[in-house]
Amino acid sequence: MPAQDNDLQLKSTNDEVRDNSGLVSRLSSYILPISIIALVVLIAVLVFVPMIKSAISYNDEYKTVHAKVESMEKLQSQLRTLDPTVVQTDLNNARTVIPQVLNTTRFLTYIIHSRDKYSLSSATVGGNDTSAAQGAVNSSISMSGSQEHILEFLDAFYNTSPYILSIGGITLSGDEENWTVKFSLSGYYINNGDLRADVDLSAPFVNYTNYRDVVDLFAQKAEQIASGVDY
Amino acid sequence: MINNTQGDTIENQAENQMMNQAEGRVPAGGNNSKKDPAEVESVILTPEEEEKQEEVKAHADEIASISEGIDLVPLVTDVQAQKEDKKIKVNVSIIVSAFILIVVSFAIIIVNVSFKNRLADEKEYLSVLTDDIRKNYTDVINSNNQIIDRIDLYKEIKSTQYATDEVVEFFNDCASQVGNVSITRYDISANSKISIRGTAANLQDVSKLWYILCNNNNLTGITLTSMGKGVDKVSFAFSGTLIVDNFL
Repeated sequence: MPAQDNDLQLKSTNDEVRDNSGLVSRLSSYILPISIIALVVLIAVLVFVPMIKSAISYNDEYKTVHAKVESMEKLQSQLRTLDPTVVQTDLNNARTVIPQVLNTTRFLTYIIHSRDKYSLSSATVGGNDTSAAQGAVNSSISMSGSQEHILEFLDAFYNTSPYILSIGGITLSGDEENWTVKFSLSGYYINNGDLRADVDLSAPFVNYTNYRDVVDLFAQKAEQIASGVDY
Repeated sequence: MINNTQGDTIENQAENQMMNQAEGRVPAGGNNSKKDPAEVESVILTPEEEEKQEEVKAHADEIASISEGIDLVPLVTDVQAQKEDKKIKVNVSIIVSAFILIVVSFAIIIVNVSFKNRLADEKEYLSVLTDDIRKNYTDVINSNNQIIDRIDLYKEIKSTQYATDEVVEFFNDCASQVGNVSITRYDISANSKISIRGTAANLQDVSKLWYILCNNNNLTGITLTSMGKGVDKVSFAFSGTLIVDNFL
């Protein structure tokens, strides 16, 4: 009987060992897949996601830079159509008509010349300078004469003046023979500064040749001023 | 020679016999193989002995089959076979997943590097382009901008300026339509407000002039601000707003 007891004990031990080894083998057979899956998830989170984010940001930045490149290319093509000599000539004409500095003396000289031309007498002619980058020289004018001459004088400012002038606050009073006109007259200037100053390439570029009619008018007025006609 | 001992099982006896045969100690036919055939034929076995001999022979055959090799690996059951198949499938799927992971990794890396290089190239090209424009076209750009500033100023001034002589001529025409009306003062402000003063022969002429000024496309908001009747004439004052676009 001791042999049978030993056999039973051995059998139960063998069963236990068999059960335990089955569990261990099951676990061991799944450790590798689980660890690989965990590794994949870790790599995806720590490596793939940042790389994909950086790729997206590179792409977005590329689109922005590419848009800038396109605008620069467009600007370059527009600038290539401008002849520097012609541009300089047009600028000189524009500066003659709307100068960088318009001092009172030059301005009033033109007014007095016009007054004399239309046989008017002036009671008051005065003006003041301003020092802003863009501004106006204002002049208060009072003149007397016939209504016809006064209207011709005012028409000259509007149509044939070589300078860009504006008239404001007109008071015209009189009877049949003698009329008096009082008004304020403004001449303008623009002081842009140095041509070699840095330019802002991001600002929209407007080609001045799109306004050829105004440029031609400037050329005409500049020629008037230079030749002294109506001046 | 291995002697049988009491208590040995039949299997042990057969095994011993087999081992003895293998070692050549005992002939294949048993210990009786070298005996004289005449002596063998002369042995008569009882039924019990014959039965016993057959049992021994059967066991010997069984042990002979075992003697070809003892298979220590147990046969695989169906459940175990299914488990093994499942394991194989899992391992294959893992291998495929790992391969896909490697391919995706390479793809992401390549895309990332290509995007980065493309961006760097585009930035470099932009830098070259910008430098070229700054180097060669700064003067032209500044000149263009200064001309544009003057053009803008001219257009702004011209949009608000009107021909004063045309305004005065217009009112003179209106007065001449009525007759016996004389306008003696014009006040035109910078914001296009206008007022006129004058005299007429009678109230009827003033009303006619009022009617003409109100029904005119060049003026809006005409009002009679004052009127006074004198001995031989009537004075009046009108105010309103010029429609500047008609006098540009």
